[in-house]
Amino acid sequence: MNEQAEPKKIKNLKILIADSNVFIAKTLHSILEAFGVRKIFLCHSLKEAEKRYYNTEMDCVFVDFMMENRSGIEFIKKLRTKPGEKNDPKLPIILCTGMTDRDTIFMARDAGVTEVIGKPFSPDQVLEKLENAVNNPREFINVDEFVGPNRRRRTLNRSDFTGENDRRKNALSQNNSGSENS
Amino acid sequence: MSDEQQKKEMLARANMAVGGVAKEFVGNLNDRVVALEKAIRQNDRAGVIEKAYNLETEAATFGWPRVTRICKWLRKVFAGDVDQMPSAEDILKTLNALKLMVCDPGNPDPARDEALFRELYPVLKKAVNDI
Repeated sequence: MNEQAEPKKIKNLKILIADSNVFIAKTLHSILEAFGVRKIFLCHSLKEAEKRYYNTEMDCVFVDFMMENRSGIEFIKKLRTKPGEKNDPKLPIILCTGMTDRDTIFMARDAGVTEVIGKPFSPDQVLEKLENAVNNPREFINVDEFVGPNRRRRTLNRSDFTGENDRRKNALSQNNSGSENS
Repeated sequence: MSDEQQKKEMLARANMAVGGVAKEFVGNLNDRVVALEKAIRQNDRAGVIEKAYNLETEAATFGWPRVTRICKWLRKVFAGDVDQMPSAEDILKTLNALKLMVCDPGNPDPARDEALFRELYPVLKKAVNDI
């Protein structure tokens, strides 16, 4: 039987923010603080963030993509492959980026990020991404070539799908009626 | 209190908090452009890319869309991610427009900024098509 884990309360999370961009980091910090999060660790360099990560148990990490000449991605890969003793390798990692082009998103996905949040972001986007990353995790893959959340998102029967023709749903109902008839 | 109500309150508090940071950003905007200009004049490519990117994302967050687009342009030019490399004169012209846009950030002039941006647009577009 599958036991559903109790959703984590946002205010009880321990969150690491790694962003060299002072005002963006401050904005994110203020947003999280307004959400009631009490333990927020703000780091403006990757060295500082790494030290903090390996010495403190975290529930979620926000990393900026462009930090230190695009080293944010390398940092994420390191967290995934060498999670250390304090943290779970499945720890939700949210990439913050001002560049939301296809290549950047693919690079982030392949590095093992849980969610990507495009800059500029609003408080409701932060809340949505955070809740999704922490309380609605995707299956975790750990193989030689890739460590991270499943890169395929499950979209079957999405309640928020608003298009006219949901082909996945149609295919599923056709399959179901086929199996009932047989 | 219902979950929905709690969420609404959280978001309202967060929006207020962002407003506070936005004020601080405005007070700092001029200095940031001066630092960017310094990096450009010193031909510090990595410095320009980092400063332009930071300013680009911050300006977008705090409601300075033309500053965002000019910074994006500068970032792409200095990263070599261009369709056609602009002349030094065009870069200087763009930088001067940016300086004018942020000269008194406490009293922004959207009409002036719009006119400046329109004038610059052909130059910007020639170098970076998706500006």
